[in-house]
Amino acid sequence: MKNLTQEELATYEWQLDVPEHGEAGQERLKNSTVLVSRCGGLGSVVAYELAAAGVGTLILAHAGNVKHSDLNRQLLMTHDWLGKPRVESAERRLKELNPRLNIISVPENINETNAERLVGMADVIVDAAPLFEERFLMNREAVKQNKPLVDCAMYELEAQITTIVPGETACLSCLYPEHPVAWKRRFPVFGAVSGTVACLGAMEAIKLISGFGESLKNRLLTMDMRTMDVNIINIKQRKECVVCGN
Amino acid sequence: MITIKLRFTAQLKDQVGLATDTVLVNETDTLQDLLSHLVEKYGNDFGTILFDENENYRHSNLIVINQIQENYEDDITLVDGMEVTLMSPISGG
Repeated sequence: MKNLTQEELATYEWQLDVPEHGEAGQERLKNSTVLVSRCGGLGSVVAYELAAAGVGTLILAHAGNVKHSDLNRQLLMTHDWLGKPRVESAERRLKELNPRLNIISVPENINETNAERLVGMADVIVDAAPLFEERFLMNREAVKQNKPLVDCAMYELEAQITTIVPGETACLSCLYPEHPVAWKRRFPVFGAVSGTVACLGAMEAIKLISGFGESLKNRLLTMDMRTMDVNIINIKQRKECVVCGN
Repeated sequence: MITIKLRFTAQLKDQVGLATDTVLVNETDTLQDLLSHLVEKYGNDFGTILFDENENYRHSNLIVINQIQENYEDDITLVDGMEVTLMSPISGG
C-alpha cells in the first residue's frame, strides 16, 4: 500500500475532510485500479472525475480515432486530435490534470479476447460502453471474477445508473436478459446528459473504493433531465439469469 | 373501470410519442391484459418492441410499478391510480 505524498495531501485537502473518507480512503483510491470502457460521453467524464479524485490507475479501453461527432460529449477528445487515436487524446488530457495518474491505454473496445484480462486487472469496472455486446461481456466477467461494476446509461435527456456487486445484487443480464431489439447504435443525447450520469458513476466508484456511503445496490437511479424527475427503482435478481443465477 | 397512469422511457417513449399517458381498464384486468391493451392502443411498432413474433414478452423491457420492478409473469392486481412505467434498455456511448 503506497502512502500519500505531501503533494497529494495538498491536492486532495478538500475531499480529505469528507466524513468516513479521510486519508485512509484517499490511500485506497491511490492504490486502486478502475477499468473505464469506453471513454466516450460517459467514460470521458468518469475518467476525468476519477483522475481528479486521485484514483491511482485507470485502464482506458476505447478503439478508433477522434471524429467531429465525438466532440459534443466526449470531453477527453479535442479538436486538435481529430483523426488520431482516442485513447491518446484521453491520456493526454488526463495527464494534464493529474500527472501522477498511471494510465493503461488499450486502443480496443471490450471484446471476447480482452474482457477477462482487463476486468481481472481492475478493482472496479465502470461500464460506459454503447454496445450491449460489450456491456454483457464486462458484466459476465465482473460476476465471474467477483468485481463490482457501475453501469451507466443514457438516451436523449434520460439517464440511468446502477451498481452491480456480484453475490449481492442483480446483474446486467438480470436487468436485460435478452438482446434489446429497439436499441440503435446512434441515439440522441447532449453532452450535459452523459456528463451528469458520468459524475454519478464516478461517485459510485469512489464510494466503492474508499468504503463509505450506500451504493446503488439493487437500485436503478433514473433521471429525466427534460422534467428533472429523479426516481429510484428497486430492481430484482432473476433466479434463471444465465450469468449470476442459480 | 379504473385509471392507470403510464410512463414510457427511451425508444418506447419515442414510439408512443408521449412520456406519460393514462388508460382506463377493467377492475379485473391483469398486468398481461394491460400490456395487450397498450399494444392495441399504440400499434404494431410499439407491440414489436414489447413482444416477439410468438407473442412472448421481451423481458429486457423493464416493467416498473410504483417504483418496483415487476416481471411480466407476476400476478399483479391493478388498482385505480397505479403508475406503470415501461422502460426500454439504454446504454452508453
